[in-house]
Parts: sequence; C-alpha cells; structure tokens
Amino acid sequence: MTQYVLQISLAGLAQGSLYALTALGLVVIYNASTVVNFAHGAMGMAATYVAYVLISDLHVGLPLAFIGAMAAAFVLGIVVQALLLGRLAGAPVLTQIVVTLGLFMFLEGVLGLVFGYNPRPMAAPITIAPVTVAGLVLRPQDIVQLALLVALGLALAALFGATKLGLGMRAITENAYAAQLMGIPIGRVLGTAWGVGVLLAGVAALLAAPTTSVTPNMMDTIVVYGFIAAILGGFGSLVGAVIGGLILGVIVNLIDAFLAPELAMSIVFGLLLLVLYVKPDGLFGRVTVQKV
Amino acid sequence: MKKWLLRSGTNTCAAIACAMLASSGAIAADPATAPGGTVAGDTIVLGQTAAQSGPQAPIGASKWGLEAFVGSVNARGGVAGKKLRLISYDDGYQPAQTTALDKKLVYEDGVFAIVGSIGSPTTAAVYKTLNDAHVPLLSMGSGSPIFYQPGLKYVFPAWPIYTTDGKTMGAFVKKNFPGQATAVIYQDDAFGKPILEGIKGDLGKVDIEIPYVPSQVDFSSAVIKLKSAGVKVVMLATIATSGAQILNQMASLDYHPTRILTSSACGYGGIFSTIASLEGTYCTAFLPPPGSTDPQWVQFADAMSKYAPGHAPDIYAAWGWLAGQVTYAGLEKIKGPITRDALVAQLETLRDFDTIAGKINYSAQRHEGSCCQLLWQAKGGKWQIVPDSTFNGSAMK
Repeated sequence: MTQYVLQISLAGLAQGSLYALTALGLVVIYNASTVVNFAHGAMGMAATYVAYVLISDLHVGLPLAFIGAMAAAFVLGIVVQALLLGRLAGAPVLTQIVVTLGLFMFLEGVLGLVFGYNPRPMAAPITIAPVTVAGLVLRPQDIVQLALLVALGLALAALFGATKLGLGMRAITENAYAAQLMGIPIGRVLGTAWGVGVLLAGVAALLAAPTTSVTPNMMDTIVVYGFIAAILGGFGSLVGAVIGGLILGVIVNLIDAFLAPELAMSIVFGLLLLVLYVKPDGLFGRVTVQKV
Repeated sequence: MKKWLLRSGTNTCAAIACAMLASSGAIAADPATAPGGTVAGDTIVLGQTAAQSGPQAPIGASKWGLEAFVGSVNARGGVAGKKLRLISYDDGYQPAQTTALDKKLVYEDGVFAIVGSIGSPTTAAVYKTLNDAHVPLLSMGSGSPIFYQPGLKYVFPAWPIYTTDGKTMGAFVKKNFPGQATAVIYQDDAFGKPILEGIKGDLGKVDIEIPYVPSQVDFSSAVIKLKSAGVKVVMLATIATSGAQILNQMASLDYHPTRILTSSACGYGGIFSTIASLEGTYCTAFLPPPGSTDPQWVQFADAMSKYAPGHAPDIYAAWGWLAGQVTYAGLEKIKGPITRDALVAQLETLRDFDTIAGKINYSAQRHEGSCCQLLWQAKGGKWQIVPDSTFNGSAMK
C-alpha cells in the first residue's frame, strides 16, 4: 500500500510540475504587469503547434523544434503585450481580463480552424525507458520535468532578485509612473516579462503534449490547475507557485486514485477556499501594504 | 369604455403572451406549431448540430460526411424529385446550445428533420421535445439506450446500442482471454455507463472499474492502479482524446496489457501517429475500417473527396454518411406529398436495408438501428478486422 501511495504521489509530482510551470508563467506576468492572463494556456498551446509544424511539416529535429517553439512563445508574449495589453495599461482591470479571455478563445478558434481538433502527435523529449527502483517505476521524463522546474524556478528567482530587469519589473508593479520617471524602459521590461511568462506556458505545454497530444484544448484543464496553484501559493510568489503546483499535482492524483476523478476539481477548489479563509494571501503570499 | 379598455388590454396581453410563447418554442408540444411538416418547395432542408469547436470537435467531422452525402445525392438529381440542403450548426457539445440551435433549426430555419446530430448528452437534451413536436430525429451520433426506448415514434437511431458495444468487448474477452484480470476505464456519463453495463452483462464481472471525467488530463493514477493490481486486459469506454491520453500514459509507465477501445475512441484519422503504442490494440466497430475495399466505404470515400474536399474520410465522417443513408432510404420511398409522417411510415418499412454500418431494420414497434459489431486490431499502422469477432447483439460468432 505504501509503495502504491508513493507511486501515485510520484506521478502527482510530475503532473504537478506542469501546473507549477504554468503557475510560474502566470505569476511572472502578474508580477510585472498586474494582468491576470486568461490566455496563458492557449498561448502555451500555440507554441506546441509551432513545434508540431516544425517536426511534421519541416522535418526539424525534436530539440531544435522545441527551441523554435519556445522562441515563438517568447515572441508571442512580447507581441501580445505590445499590441494588446500595453495599450490597455490604464484600462479597468475588467477590460484587461476580457481581452485575455478573448485572446484565449481567438487562439483556440483559429488553431482549431487551421489544424482541426483531431489530436496530433508530439514525441516525448526523453525516450529512455522507465526504470524500476525498489518497486517504484521512475520515468526519466518525470525527473527531467521536475529538474527543469527547479532550474527555471531558480533562474526566475535570480532574474527578479538580482538583475536590473527584475528590479525594473518590481518597480513597475509598485508604481509605473515613478518607474518611468526613473528611466526604466517600461515597454521593454513588460515585453520581456510577458515573453518569459508565455515561454513558461510553452514549456509546460510542450512537456504535457506527449501525453495529452496536441489539440487546441490541450491546456484547458492544466491552466485551471495552474491558476489554482498560483493562488494557493500566494499569487505573486514564485516559490508559492512551485510548491502550490506540486502539492496540487499530488492531491489531485490521490483524489483520482482513492476517491473519484469527478470530485477532484470540487475538492481542490474546496481546499483552496479553506486555505484562503485561513491565510487570505495564500501559503507563501505576503500582505501588501500600500502607502496612500 | 372602461370595460372595453380592460377587455382590450387583457386580449392584448394574452396575444403578446402567446406570441412570446410561440417565439420561445414553449408550445412545441403542439405538433401543429412545428413548421415545415410538409415539403413545399423543391428542396428538403435537413438540420444538424455537431461540435465544430471544443474538445469534442473531432467527432463533429460527421458534418462533412453528411455534406458529402447531400452533395452526391444532389449530383444524382436529388431524392423524391427534390434537392437536399443541410443546415449544420456548431453546438460545441453543449446541451444548452443544442437545445437553442435545434429550436432555431425547427422554428426559424424550418428544417424537415434533424439528421446525424452528434452526442449523447446533446441529443438527450432535445429528443423528447423533437418527438413531441413530430420532428424526425434520424441517426443521431449516439448509442445511448434512452433513444431506443419504445414509443418514440419520430426517433430513429442507427448505431448499435452502447450496451452492444460493451457486450462485444465482454464477449471477445470471455472468448479470447478467459480467466485474466480485467478492468474498465469508463466515462462517467450516459456514454460510458451503458458500455460498462454491456461489458459486465456479457463478461459477468470486471475486476476493477475506474470512472473518469472528460476534462481529466492526467490518468497516471488510474494506470498505476491497474498495473499494481496486475490487470491483464483493459477495456476503455472513452472518447478519443481521453483514450489517447490513457494509452500514452500506459506506454510511459511501461505497462502493456491487452487494450480494447470503444468505437468512439478510435475513429479519427491520424490515430496511429498520435498513439505510438497503438499496435496490437483492439477496437470495437460497426463500420468498415478506414481504407477498406468494402464497396460502401469506397463509395463514401469517393464522395468525400468530391463533395467534402480537404476532410478525411474517417469514421467520424462516416457517421454523417450513415445518417444521410438512413434519411435517403425513407425519403425515396415516399409516394405523394413529402410529410414528416410519411417519412416515419416509410422508415418503418425498411427491412435489411444496406448501409455503411451493415443492415438496418426498422418497424413500427422497433427503432433499433444496426444490430451488430465486430472488432478491429491495429496491425502494421492500420486497422484490420479481427476474424470471428462479429457480435450479433446476443452472441459472438
């Protein structure tokens, strides 16, 4: 029984790493621009179609196709920020939300129109056969996913904490007008933040695709869990997004295994409400005090 | 004067109320209110709802099979002296949308019949209303048992009932894998549950039953559970995307049981490239495998290339073609005015009617559609019919 629970939890950690990567992207974008990006999953999904076209139609190798897809995700983030969200900087929050919701539907619709809705294949980046250690099946891909999550988490922490770019992002969040007066290139900084955020969504989608297959809706559920992970961890906290995603992956898998899959979403949202009731800023969120 | 005003006001209110009820379709129970009961012009307008967007959009390819059928009939001069026209709407597999769109089809577009609409929950939302309004509902893309109940005069399913799908799996496992530990992963709704019932009905018992919801993306816990329990035969009552995810998950966990898919999960083109580990997998079927030399399939594939170019002649498209065949069979036998009741009367005379799904029989007492299923197996990158796997509704050959 212990081994079974361990195996389920291990698989949950792997799946949770996808939620965590998605949540990280959401947090990066939110931290810089205070926009909650509802098109996040769809933008990541769009990147997998780039990889799919590169591999299937242009016969590009898998590593190069993944790099191409991530580059496309980064550019997509910059373009969306520059052409859409950047122009709505002063608009009400509701307008920004509706714009990202619209973008989500637009991307899914357009890609559905172009490629159809049939699942398309995506090879796994790691094709080494799973190994059994002490009765536990270890999938190399899971280990790579978790390692990638840790590496990207650390890189982002360094970006936010120890670079001018990160400082600029935080300054813009505090007070965009003052940041501009201080000479921070707001457009470039926000563009980079959006690029990095969408790149993370692209990584999550590329890692999910070998199992989910490439479809316009492949990220719909993952992004919901990404949002929950981000909120659970305390929206704005990178560490919270990572921990929140991993916890969520394990919880969902345990619910699937021991209760019923149809209860997963309800129980998870119930737990989220409970956590927010006890700790309104999430597990790792900080109380924001604003001087007026 | 005051009394007249009052009476006049009451009448006006009543008239407005009636108009509102009529426009909302709330008086659909009165058959006289459903327009288009008799074909007046030179065109018979057919209506369909099928998901063209969202996760269930692959099965919406039924639209293109139906379009191809309509195109081929019109190229031959039509049926009963009339041309056919199809109005197909995207309901996104949302029952609320289906209800609204069917109301539009019947009360605004004036369609003669609803043909080849896709989905169990979507069709479940409208079948009684359409039946009450005397609007024929033909060859819906579902084998849910609710559509096969007696007394639904205007409802004509063409698929084998889902329990037959399950019984086909059960009979096959009993015959070929006796005594092996079995499991079923099933969609926990009107689609998956009857298949599970069918499996259990024929197999006797299933060792592990695992429900899932269509929005689920991670099946690792289910696969680990089956692997840990040493299950040797796994039957999947799933939709296409979930089936692909489960099989991919099995391969990634180095778990290779005998796998049997339901027909709804293996009908799309490209399945062999999407699921790398598909080789050896079985699938229930009531249609010829794609690429078959069966004359019915060849005719369908030819029509697809002519009248629905750019759309693959896959199983989902063939569902639409089947719906067209059923509709045509009833219409061509009508002598005199083309009315909905005449269509129903003629459909009920069909005996051993040849379709792409095999022979179909209807009578005034029984609207049951195709009786039989068989199994395919993935071999060498294509589906091949498994010999001696035909299930006739009660026994396997």
